Amino acid sequence: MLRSRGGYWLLLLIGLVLPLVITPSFYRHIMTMTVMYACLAEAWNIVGGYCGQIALGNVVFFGLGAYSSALLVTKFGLSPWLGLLVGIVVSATVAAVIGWASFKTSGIYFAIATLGIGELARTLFVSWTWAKGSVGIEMPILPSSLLNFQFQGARLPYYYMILGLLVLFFWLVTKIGASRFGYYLRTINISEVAAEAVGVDVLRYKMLAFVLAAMMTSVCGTFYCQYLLYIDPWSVFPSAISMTMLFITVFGGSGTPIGPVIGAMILIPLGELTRGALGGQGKGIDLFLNATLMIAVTILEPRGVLQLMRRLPWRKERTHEQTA
Amino acid sequence: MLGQLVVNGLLMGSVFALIASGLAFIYGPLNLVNFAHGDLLMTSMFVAFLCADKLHVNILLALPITFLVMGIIGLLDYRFLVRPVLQAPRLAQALTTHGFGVGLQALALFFMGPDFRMISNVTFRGSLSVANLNVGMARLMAGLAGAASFALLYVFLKYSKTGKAVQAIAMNREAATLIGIDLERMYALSLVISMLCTGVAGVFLSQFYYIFPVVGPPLLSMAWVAMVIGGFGSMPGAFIGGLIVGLTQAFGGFFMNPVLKDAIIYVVFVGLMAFRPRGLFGW
Repeated sequence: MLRSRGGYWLLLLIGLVLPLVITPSFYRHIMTMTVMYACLAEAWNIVGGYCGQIALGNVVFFGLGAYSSALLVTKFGLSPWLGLLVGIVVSATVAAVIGWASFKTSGIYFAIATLGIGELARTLFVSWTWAKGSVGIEMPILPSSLLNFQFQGARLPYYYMILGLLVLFFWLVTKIGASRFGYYLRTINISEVAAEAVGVDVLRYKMLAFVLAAMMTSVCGTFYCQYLLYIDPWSVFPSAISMTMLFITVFGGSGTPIGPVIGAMILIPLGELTRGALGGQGKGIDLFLNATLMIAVTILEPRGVLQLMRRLPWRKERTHEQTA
Repeated sequence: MLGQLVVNGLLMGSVFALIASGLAFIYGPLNLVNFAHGDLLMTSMFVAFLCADKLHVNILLALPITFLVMGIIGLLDYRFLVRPVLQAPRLAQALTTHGFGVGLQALALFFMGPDFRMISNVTFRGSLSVANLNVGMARLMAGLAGAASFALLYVFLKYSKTGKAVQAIAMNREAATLIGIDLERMYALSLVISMLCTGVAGVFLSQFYYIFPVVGPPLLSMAWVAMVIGGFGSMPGAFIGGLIVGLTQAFGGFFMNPVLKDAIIYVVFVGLMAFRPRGLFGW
């Protein structure tokens, strides 16, 4: 989508240098959240953007990733890295079950089923007393080291870890997009019937896309838990996170590797800064801004802001350029 | 006790069915999933609240006022939000309607604040006792209103020419255009009817339910489950589905942890999806 590879390297360079230039920890926190949401949206992009399945409950895997590591650390004294792996396995299993139950029918059933699973997960964790229910889990303070996945008081190591994860995810999605698997997913997106007709095992590839997205989302959940060191069902299972993943992806341009990154770079700082500037009054102005952007982007250009910029009058000569 | 649970479940289920038929009225003809439906319901509850709290009118007057407001919202919604995305991909439609819902929540938050409210001067007071059943008047009326509206909709679809036109569009858009049905008008009409369903549900719910800016989404989820249980787009299915959801909620809340009563419905829902994916009455 960007004109050349140079653009990607420039973005990465900005990502690496920015927290060294802007040092207040509030802004570093916003940067960390921006990159984390870019990762989440990148994961959503595989199942929602490429494969076209409207997954509305991906926050479940975020929460499962967070709780897996939190429970393993607090209940069994195991390493959070083990929690990361357990979270991936649990999320993949749950995704496989949801997919098996809901991919048999048309897309809208999947959307509603996933939305329901999101609500279900939060309800279960609120009433699960062994996992501390609605009180939430406070992580024990361990000595700072990569092995413990904790860096007391320092934000930079967390930021560079999640940035590394984003680079990995970006590379993965780019590879998928160019692979046979990616073409299958896009075919399914355009027409399931046509995909079936040319011999694509639709159910299998939808499942694969969903499970892969679940695993990636789970990693972000573990990161979030280690970063904040406190989780409760409301902070890691809100349906708002699912919608944010979708929104970021569509805003930036769904079905492209760079779309989620661009979307997160615009929307997350905007949201955090407006909340910071106007917030605390419970007046919902930031919500309103979000709503307006959602409607505006879909009505003006459902393919996202990158396409929208391409349509600007002074860039007219590029309109017939290859878009994928 | 069992009888009491059945009655409570059926009454609440009838309200869910009404909300679900509002959804079906948009999904059928327009082939669009309205994610703002819960927040539109919230809006109508707030209109009813303002009627009672500021204008001091009873439900007989609140109902037409709510109809008027919701009808206008429906027309504006159609003209400025729904029509531009009718041909767009599902994802864009989902985001537009969801955005509208979030916008309504933000407006409610801005003008009314986040507090839980209840109407203090409700029209239906007290309760009705028959045998050893005890039913709150407000709940009883809500249940009856749900069933009555539903019957009205059914008759409209089945016997009026306009109703048949709406059904024709739901079956096949191109064929409907060919026989001279004005799509645009029918779309707008379906949306307005859907808004009126929401209006009835909102006014009667506001007689006994808490009213706050995010009251919509959980109620919408229940309506969705009702619609999927019944089979998407099937009106009798939506009604039965609503009753099943109401009963499941009532029994689940009584025999298990009340926190889990919504959870049970989702479990039923996912189970049904796996084994009866088109719903009980789906094609």
